[in-house]
Amino acid sequence: MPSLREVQRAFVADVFTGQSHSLGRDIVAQTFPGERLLQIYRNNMYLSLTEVMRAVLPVISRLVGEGFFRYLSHEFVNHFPSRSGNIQHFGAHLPAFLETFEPAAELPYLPDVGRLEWAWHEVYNAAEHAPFSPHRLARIPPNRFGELRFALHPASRMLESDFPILRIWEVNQEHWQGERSVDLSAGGDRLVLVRDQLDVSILRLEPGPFQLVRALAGGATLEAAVTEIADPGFDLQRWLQHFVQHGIVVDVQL
Amino acid sequence: MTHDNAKIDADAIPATVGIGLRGPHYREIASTQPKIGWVEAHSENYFGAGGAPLYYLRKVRELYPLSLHGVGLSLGTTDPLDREHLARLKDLVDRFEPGLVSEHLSWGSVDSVFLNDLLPLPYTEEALNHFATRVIETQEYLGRQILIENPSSYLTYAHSTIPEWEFLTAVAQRSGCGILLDVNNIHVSARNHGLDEERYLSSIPSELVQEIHLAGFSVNRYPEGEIAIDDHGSRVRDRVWELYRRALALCGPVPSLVEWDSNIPPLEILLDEAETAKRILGDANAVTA
Repeated sequence: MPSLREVQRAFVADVFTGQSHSLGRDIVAQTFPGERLLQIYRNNMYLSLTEVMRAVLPVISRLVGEGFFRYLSHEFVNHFPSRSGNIQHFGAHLPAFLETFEPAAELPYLPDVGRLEWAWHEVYNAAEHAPFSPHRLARIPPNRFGELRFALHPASRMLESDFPILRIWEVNQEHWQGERSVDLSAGGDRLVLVRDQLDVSILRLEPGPFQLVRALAGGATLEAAVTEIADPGFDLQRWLQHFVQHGIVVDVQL
Repeated sequence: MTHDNAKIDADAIPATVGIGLRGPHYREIASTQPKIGWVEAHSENYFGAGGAPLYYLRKVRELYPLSLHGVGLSLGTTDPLDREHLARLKDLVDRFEPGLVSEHLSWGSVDSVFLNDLLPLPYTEEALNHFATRVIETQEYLGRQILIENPSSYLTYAHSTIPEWEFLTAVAQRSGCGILLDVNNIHVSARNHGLDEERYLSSIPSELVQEIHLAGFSVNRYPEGEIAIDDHGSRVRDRVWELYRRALALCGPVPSLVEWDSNIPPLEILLDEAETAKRILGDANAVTA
């Protein structure tokens, strides 16, 4: 009699191979052979994980079409099986997987569109944080402002791409009404995603402000963050205020 | 002390009809506050750190008693219990004070690979010892009783020696957990494996049953025969309503839940199913009284 552990290992092995070599003789076969019964569990796994990913990456699904998305997710599940009973993180590697997925090589922007959708999903579910309170700055002597380190909202993410991924994302939203064409030579995007009430807002930034917010997110002091910005006319105060107003910068420490 | 008692009563799940809380219905439930006795949420849907799911769960919790129903703990796995999963569940239980917390008589992973499904256990002495120990561990960790639900299954094992109803009853007796009786799952498994539904129902000690689940299933037809699939994607079938009446006759009025997980319909359809359940539960109450 096989042990419980042997049964579980055989079951999972058979679900992935689509055969019943490991578990075969241990399944009661009345109307159907064991292989057919295991097939139900195999289909359930691929189908449910595909739907989990489709819910988080609807634009990818739309761009490649439903059938191709099924094939993609089937291949993905074989390379990166689920590692948790909490499916909220399942599919996190899909954008990276798309980089190496030869059948999708014709659509070079797919991985970055996937990263945008994944960032959106993370921001949507991330923790709350109180907005920036100005009195935190009031107690700091102005001659030490260069040493300040700013904290970003836990529900914020930064993203840079060589492709116009925001436009691609927008025109592939379910309720998009306008023109759907995208000029792929329009240049890349620098984006910040941040939670706005229960929703997610996306800001498209120029290189200067993007460098600032990314340096701050990396834990740089204000002085170090500013030295990375190439633009001599960069209006630091304006952009800091902008990030505070949009709830991206939420705290400050000396 | 009086205050504490009042609070516990307010949180308890009444012996009335509740509905499964699903994302597409959040706003409508929060704004229209339909007349339902309680709601049940899938625990793992609220494992995120914040955002809309938790916001709406808080809103709904202010309006109704709440039950938390887990689908991803993989209680029966021979891997160690997933401590991170348990920690998140405990955090939810501590914050939302659900009246009931439940999981399944199943497993879903081995060697850290998850099929994210409710897979059947072989019903052996070894599996019984293992599963009862896991339920005890979970209850100790959460600091409360849980309910265990009978699963629906598509295959059985040649080396199983214990009928499912005896296995489930023994788990409850050894661990002190309660039973969540899914009458749809009884029907699906009975249909697939030729079990006797009446024997199943009448063999479960009625005092162990603390909740009943109701849902729809579909049927896959093949040249050799058919397989009932527990997809929770349609209305409750007549035969399952009959089993529900029978279960109520045996157990008396218990909290009863209508679930719908795939092809999720407009809220009004789900509420209409809940009305049917209410009528049946009301009839059972009248008979009992």
